[in-house]
Amino acid sequence: MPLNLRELSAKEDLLAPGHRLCAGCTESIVVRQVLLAIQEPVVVACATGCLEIGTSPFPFTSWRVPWIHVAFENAAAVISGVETAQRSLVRQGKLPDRPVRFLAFGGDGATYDIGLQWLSGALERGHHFTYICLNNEAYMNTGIQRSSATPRGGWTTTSPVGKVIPGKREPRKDITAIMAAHNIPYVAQATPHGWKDLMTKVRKAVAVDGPSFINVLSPCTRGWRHELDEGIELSKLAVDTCIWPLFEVESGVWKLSHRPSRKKPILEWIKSQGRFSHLLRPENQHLVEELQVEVDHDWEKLLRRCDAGGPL
Amino acid sequence: MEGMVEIRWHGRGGQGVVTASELLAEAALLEGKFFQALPEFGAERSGAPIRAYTRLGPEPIQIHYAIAEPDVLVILDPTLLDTPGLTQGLKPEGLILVNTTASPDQVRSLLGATAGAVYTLDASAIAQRAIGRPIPNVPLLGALLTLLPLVALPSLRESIQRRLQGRLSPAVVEGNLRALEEGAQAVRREQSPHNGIPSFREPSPAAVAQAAPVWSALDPGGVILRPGSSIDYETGSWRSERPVINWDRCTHCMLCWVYCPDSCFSVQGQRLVDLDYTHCKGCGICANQCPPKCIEMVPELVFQEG
Repeated sequence: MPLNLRELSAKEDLLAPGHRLCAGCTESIVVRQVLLAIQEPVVVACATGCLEIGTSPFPFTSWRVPWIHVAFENAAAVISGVETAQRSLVRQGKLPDRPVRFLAFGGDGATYDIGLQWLSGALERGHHFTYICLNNEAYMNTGIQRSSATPRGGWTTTSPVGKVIPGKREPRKDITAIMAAHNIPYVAQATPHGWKDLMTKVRKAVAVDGPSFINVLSPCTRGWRHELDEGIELSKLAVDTCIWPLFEVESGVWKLSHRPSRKKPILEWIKSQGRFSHLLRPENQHLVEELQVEVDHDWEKLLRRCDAGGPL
Repeated sequence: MEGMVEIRWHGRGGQGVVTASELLAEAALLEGKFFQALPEFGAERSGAPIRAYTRLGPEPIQIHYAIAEPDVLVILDPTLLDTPGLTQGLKPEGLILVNTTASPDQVRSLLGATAGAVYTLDASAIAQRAIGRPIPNVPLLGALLTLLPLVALPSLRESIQRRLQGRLSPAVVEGNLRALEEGAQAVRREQSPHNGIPSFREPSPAAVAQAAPVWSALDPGGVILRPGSSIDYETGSWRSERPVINWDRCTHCMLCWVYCPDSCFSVQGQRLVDLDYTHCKGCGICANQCPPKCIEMVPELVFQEG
């Protein structure tokens, strides 16, 4: 099926409404796009987090695919087991031999922090699954605590803004590069705004022979302090400011997916969200300048990686 | 317990429901009274209906559960007025205080034959004027104390100051205190009070279906065998604004469909045909992203008032 919205709209929506995610949450938008892109049967494991809680309050489920949740840290381990069981049952002739796509969803808390070693292990073992990180840059499910995905200068309840501390002091972890360093067949970054880019990447990811990873920026109204209707708009602004570049790493070859026609200043990103409002105070102007330098540096590094076709 | 008063607060995440329940309890603490303040919400998020409870009494309170038969209902969001079972359990001599621009008699006609006397206050407008944001909790507390002197107004002023000072600017703290006074004065009563009609609307079949099943009805392991069963859970009540499509200008580009977090756009033969208001949470992403700008967000109250 071509990646065309009118064609795709004929497909059954595999995430039902009635879930309890916030109004304006972008996580369910990402999940819908992922499930619409995949053309084969799907099995999903979910890490603990907003998505898991919001789509499965007992006795309801929003999922129209086989779905399992075990704990916070082990979505990658659980889906490894499911994938292995399926392979074994096919070999024993107990299940038909047909392609099944195995997905794991985790937030940034589950992916960057709590589940990192389990994810790393599953990638190294080479299971045939796709891990999708719904990255909203903090622990939103438990009430906005900092994670290692929270950007420098970002307010959270555990990186508060006060007279001394201007939000989180440490830069975020580059987990996408860490995943690429596992030398798995496919790694990418995406956003829900770029639905076609995201769906193309999902199709590539599930088709490779081995593990794949996609990091999707997922704006959060509560944690980022933006209006309910701005999630998609912000996921585009993140790309335009080079805060969240779109790229993919196919068999170790880095490729830029989109180059903004005009790179917007980071100030536009900072002004768009309440979690950065303190950075607009005169005494914090130097931080804005430092953050711009960091973004420029990371962007140049990415361009060099992509030009060279591999990590530097 | 003799003299105990039970208050049930109904509102949405973000309106200060839990804070209101606690501010009143803290005022009681300052007066040496006994109290409880309990929030109740599940996995629901911002915008979802939530409840909170406050118990006040002259003696230690030995019960610790949700309030089923309240003396007072405070409704912080007028869009909740048609929620099934809203007034359930309210004592016949009870009191209903609603944040709304409508009159008490209009609210009465919305609620139907229900126990308790109805009072209204345009608390959102008072808060908007006083603090620049329509957070209705403090003006409603002022109104509540006018109707029932549960604690003295100065105690509540002090509990508000203690809670807000240092966290919010002095102007916002002052604004809240003004909102408290204004709420105390502006509360409106029913023209012909319905005293003690001990009946309330039965919960709808949907509300009954949404209650958790008993253990003996569960599948072994708690496995849920019906895919997508959350479709029975209606999230449309979370909405304060409704997207309305101007079909003449719709180009059926499907961007609203692919960007909807709640799968609310129905498509037939590659054309948009309908919008599912039983689940739409009113986030407005569709209106924000629509290229020909043919979706308008209309306040839900416009529809409630007909």
